[in-house]
Amino acid sequence: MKPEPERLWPLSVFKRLRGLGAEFGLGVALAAGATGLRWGLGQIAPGVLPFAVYFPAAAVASLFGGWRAGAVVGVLGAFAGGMLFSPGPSLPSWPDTAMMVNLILFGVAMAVVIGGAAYQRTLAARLAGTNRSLADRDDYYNVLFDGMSEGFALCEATFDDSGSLRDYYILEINPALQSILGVGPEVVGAKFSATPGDNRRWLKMCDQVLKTGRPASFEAHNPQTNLWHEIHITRVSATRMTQFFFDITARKRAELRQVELFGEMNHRVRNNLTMVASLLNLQARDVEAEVRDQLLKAAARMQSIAEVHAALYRGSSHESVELGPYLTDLCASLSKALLLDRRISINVRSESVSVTVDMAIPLGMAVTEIVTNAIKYAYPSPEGGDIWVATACRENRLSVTIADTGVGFERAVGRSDGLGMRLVRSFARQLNGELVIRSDQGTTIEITVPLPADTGASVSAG
Amino acid sequence: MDQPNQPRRFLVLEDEPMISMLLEDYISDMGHEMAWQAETVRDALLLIEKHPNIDGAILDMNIRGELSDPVATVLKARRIPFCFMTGYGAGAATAYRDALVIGKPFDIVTVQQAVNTLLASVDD
Repeated sequence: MKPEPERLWPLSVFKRLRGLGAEFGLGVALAAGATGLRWGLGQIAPGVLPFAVYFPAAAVASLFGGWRAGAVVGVLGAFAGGMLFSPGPSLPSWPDTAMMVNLILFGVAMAVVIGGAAYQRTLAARLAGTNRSLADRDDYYNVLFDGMSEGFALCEATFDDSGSLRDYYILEINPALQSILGVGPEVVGAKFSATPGDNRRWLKMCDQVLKTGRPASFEAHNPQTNLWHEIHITRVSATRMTQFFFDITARKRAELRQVELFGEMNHRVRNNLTMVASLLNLQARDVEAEVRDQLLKAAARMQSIAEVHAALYRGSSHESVELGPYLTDLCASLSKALLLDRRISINVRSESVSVTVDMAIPLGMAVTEIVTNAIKYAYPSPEGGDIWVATACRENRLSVTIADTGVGFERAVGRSDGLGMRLVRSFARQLNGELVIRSDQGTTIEITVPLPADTGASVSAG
Repeated sequence: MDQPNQPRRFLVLEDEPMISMLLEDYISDMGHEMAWQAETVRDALLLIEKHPNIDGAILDMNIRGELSDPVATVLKARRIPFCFMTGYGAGAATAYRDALVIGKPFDIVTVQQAVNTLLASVDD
């Protein structure tokens, strides 16, 4: 609402005048009352001091009406006392010296009484204001504590003889946390150890926070309510800590949905690439041998990329690829596509190693080219033979070896200078790797690439 | 116009090896040579520093999240003709809006036209 200034200021002046009038009126009333009292006292016991009754009256006026009301009592008291109750020549005739001294003493004493009482009044008003704002703050925090959607608890720790946290009491717990934990307000004052289940890890974490002063925060899933919470534990003092619970269920669900969608996307990419590969395979059926080989190779290359996406949605991580299963699947699809008889078999042996997608695709493509070449050139005789694919990790270097016991690299005309080997060299260079070709008993091709420790590639013994 | 039989030597800045292999083939089909290949902006700048005899350059606009503009600046200063490649369409961000741009995916005709235009611009 818009304030109306031209009506507001006369209102404030009126209020001010009314306030002053009330103060003046209080002063006059108390002065009159005191005068009446003095007159009554004079009737019972003549000789009562002329001004004495005005001091309590002025004190009362100053306490309740402020210094102005007190001053009114003082001035009226001086005249009334001087005129009505003084033994000497009474006002308004010029006072004698004794009367003069009386009046001055009265004025000084009155000023002290009024000043003291008015100061008391100010102090009382200030105290009342402070109490009011304290109460307001209390209300405010109560509303916050009760109304906020985040769970909050204040806890007091108890320690065992060795000084590590044994248990804690719940000092405060707000309604939000009560509903998150499925408890009532009766847990206030209860021990944490009353909570069912194995709580050792939780206590250890709280202990850490109390010892180090470093806040701990983590995410937790509640299987009963199927809600996710982010929990912050913060030290308040050496024995006290607060626990905050934030509901992050919506975010968690969105994250899970994103993971799902990512998996779905990889699934579709894989299926589309497989479809393209199938088209090429179909096309290869009706053409002469030379063209058929080319089409089958193209399909195999396509499939090797498709398998990376399969490994991505099958794996636990959506950013890295477990190399062993990937190469196994890749070689299985190569044998299905290119080994129509069982003359040659491909054996994969892999250590457990995860690589990023950026590494998996060139590595897989290189393996595809080398294996395809080995199938084509290594075993021209009808007996056939084996092809081995193996991975090994040493000192942050990953080596992939493809070996056969066939006729040897140099003796296989066209094996070294085709598109296949050109691609292999190019992939090896893309990965900053080395390519070693040995041709003693058959052909061994080894690609060694650095495993960047900070780009998601990880090695575990296996 | 240059004599068709005179082979020219090109620098290609491209981080995707299969695309640079394809460019290598297209360029050599024209009787020229992809003599230098860089996969990072830094490598490209070093190669230009070392080899004053570059006849032309083809630059991928975005190299691992980095714009290839600094390479274009050096090439322009040395009066070496260059063109960009981009998969983001012709409106991709670059300080060289009037430069020749090859959109990806490209075919052999587009690349050869671009190479001929580059070589012709030197003789102008």
